[in-house]
Amino acid sequence: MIPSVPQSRYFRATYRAYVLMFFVYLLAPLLVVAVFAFNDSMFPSLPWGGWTLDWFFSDTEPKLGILYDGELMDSIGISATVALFTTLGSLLLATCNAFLFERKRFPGKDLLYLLMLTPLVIPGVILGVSILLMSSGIANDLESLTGYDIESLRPGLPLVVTGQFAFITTICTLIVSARLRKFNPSLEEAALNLGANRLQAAVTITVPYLSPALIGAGVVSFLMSFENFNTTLMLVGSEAPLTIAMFDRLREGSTPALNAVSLLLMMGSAVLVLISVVVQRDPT
Amino acid sequence: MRRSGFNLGLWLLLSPLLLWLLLLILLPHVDLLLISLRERVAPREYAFSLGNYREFFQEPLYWRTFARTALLSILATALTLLIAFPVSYYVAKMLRGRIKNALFLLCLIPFWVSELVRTYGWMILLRESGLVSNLLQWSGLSETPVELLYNDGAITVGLVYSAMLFMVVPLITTLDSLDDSLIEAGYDLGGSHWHVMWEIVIPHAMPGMVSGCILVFMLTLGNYLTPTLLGGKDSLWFTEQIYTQFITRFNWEQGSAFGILLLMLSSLIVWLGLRLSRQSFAQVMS
Amino acid sequence: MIDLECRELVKTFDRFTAVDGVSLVVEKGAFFSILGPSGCGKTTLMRMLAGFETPDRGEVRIKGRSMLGVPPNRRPVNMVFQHLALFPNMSVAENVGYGLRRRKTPRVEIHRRVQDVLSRVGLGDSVDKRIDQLSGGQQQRVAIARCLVLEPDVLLLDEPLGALDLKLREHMKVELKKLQSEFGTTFIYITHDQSEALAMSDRVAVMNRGVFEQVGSPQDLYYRPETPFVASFVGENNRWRGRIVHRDLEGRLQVRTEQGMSLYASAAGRGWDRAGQEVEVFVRPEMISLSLSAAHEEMHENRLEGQVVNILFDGSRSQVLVQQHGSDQEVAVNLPQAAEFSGLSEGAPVYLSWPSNRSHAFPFWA
Repeated sequence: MIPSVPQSRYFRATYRAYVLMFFVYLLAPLLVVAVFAFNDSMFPSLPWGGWTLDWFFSDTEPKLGILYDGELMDSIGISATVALFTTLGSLLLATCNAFLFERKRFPGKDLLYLLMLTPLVIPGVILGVSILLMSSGIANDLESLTGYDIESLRPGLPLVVTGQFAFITTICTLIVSARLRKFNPSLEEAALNLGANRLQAAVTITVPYLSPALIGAGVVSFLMSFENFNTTLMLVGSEAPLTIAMFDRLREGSTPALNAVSLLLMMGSAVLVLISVVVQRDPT
Repeated sequence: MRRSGFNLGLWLLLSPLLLWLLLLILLPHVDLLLISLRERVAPREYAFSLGNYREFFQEPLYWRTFARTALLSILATALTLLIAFPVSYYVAKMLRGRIKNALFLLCLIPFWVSELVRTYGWMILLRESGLVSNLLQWSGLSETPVELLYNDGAITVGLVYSAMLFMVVPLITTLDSLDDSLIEAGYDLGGSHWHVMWEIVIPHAMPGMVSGCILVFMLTLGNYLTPTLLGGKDSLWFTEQIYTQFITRFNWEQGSAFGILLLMLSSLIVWLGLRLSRQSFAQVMS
Repeated sequence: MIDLECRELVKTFDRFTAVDGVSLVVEKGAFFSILGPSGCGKTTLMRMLAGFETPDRGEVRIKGRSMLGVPPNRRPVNMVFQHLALFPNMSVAENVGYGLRRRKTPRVEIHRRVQDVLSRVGLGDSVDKRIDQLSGGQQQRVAIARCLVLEPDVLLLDEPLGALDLKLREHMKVELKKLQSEFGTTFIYITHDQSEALAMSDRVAVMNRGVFEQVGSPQDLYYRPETPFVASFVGENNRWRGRIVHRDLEGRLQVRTEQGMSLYASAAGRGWDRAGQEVEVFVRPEMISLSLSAAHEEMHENRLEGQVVNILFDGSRSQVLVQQHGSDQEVAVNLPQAAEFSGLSEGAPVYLSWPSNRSHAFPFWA
């Protein structure tokens, strides 16, 4: 069944309809979330109460717009901070890992590579609890030994960053390695031949070559961190990142304010993704 | 090159990796295992015990939730594969050029949207006052508003939806790498649609199918949001049990045992999948 | 008996006409080649024969039966694909047996026929090997065996030697020709390589821009090209622009080239060869005889003297470039392997001659 092999018209039409339905299924939930952000009603559901921008810009209860909703706005800031730290850490380690796995040969490499991949198959909830256990254990031991309670080992934002970092690094490593694998090492050798030392060659030739992958990996890790729920849920303290704050709201009962935040999130993701697509577009 | 310089470089690159894997992956899970195997005998005093696991098997709520989670995950994985395969095939083999790329990107969109937002979308669609219910009433299929949320059906819809991307992408990638001339050769030698699909396309797509299934199964098994938000009072998910033990009941020993059980189940399924398809883990993941 | 017939086939993609009114007739047991540069429409033509493209107009008939609306899996033709398209997930035997299994042939017979055809192509001991364990030439033979085991009326081959290296290609040429005569199957062979087409075929069609320029035996194409395209595409040529000075009663043209050389040529086609007409003249380097003395016995119409300006040594295909005395005309001539020419050096005086019917003149419309 490819275009060059004849098919009946009926079959072709059915197949096309199926694919169309699939994309409706794919986009429907996102569309309703977006549309109901403009519903002039207390509920994100029918009947439609008319169009309004109150859920973004109104500064009075009961339709408090999200821009004036201190709690939500704070949580966005928290999420962004967490995502920033996670991204920086993951990128740094991922770049090291990529060079290690693509360029070096050492005993136990295959085993380490497998181990590097395991975070992909550990459920986020379990990754979260295991890190929680470990850090609490260390904190307890330290407390009984020295009498100090180290705050950052207790549930809270540092731990959230750590937990997200633990699995996002794997994804970044895969992205950066894939690009490094395509790099032609003779370019670096040419740089050495022209008088650069190893570090200079890496900084002037290899890193610029990797930059699309680094930006792409950065965008992916920022988004994954921003949107992460499972691992965060287990490690979060009193300050709630956006997903946690939204989850709590959702359980209390939703208003179109949640749709408005969601729409902002989607638009933010779209901008980031566009950036990464543009950057990664290979001119060759 | 000097031998020592080479080793220094290696160690500089190797040590962060080792620290990461050791401190954030290996030790925490060893810890998880150790804690699951102990029992509190007095305040701050613990002893080795299999009690947490015994508890799991003796309490029907626990092992039933576990079995339910496993079965629904397998069901959701199978459904995802069934739904995704024709679509992936269409995008990879029936389309060309710009529209193909556009549809491929369209498939990726849900991935870029937070899982919470996606689940919320399904809540808006499926609740009693939601769009689908209204649509049913409007079309005359139903007299009264229908509650479609808070049941296993809603969970399955949500699970399949969240995991779809991880099936579609590997499938499209492997199907795309199948040379059209192989399909044409299959027809040229007298094969029917069915035979070509079964003997040429599916064997070629097998690696993609396996990695898709493994990823989808893992994600589904470890999902927390979808069952919590779309499921009803009776549709418990095993991750919810873990959360309850850790955060609500503060029974870390029991929670750890649950965590280990979930890990064992997922590893078992991954291992089986790899054995059945004779592939290696590294192959599947990259 | 006619195995395959096409009438006025036309195939257009968007605004590009790939095949523009091609008709052809191939007799049973023939080795028929379609020769043309890439993009000339030969692959599209072949895919219409196999059923992977539907012609916009015209008809394909195989053994007298129209193929309109017959899907590829029901056609009595099989195809050896450009990159062979061997199924990587199947062994050699499974690949060869694929078509027989589709026909619900009994298992025992499949086994026998697969074994039989594989030993006929010289792969009797590779039955259970994986495809990637075979060499390029062996894969080639599996691809052919996979089709021949089905005893098709017509076997289509789409540049099957393209992926092989030079040595192997030369070897496979001989092998293919041998296989074809052994099996007696009608072969339709697509290639852009003129030496493959000339060496193996009974008949060759030269295709350019969607049409057949000339259909004939390899000798026809080589000695009697009908169009400038055929003359230039088949074999090597000296190619000169010029103008007709005179046309004698026997139809011989006297032509003066732009570089000022005067020569006799035969006109391809009729009715255009008036004095003053601009022409292109093609003369093959191997048709020109070279000698070191003026008193050469061969009395061809075209005779000239000049001096060697360059020697391009390439073993048996060595050429010398000669400049005529009294004009700017340079002529490429094959260097004979005789001992008398071994000392030839640049600047040496030489004498060239060739008959008028070995220089072909075509009208040149500016």
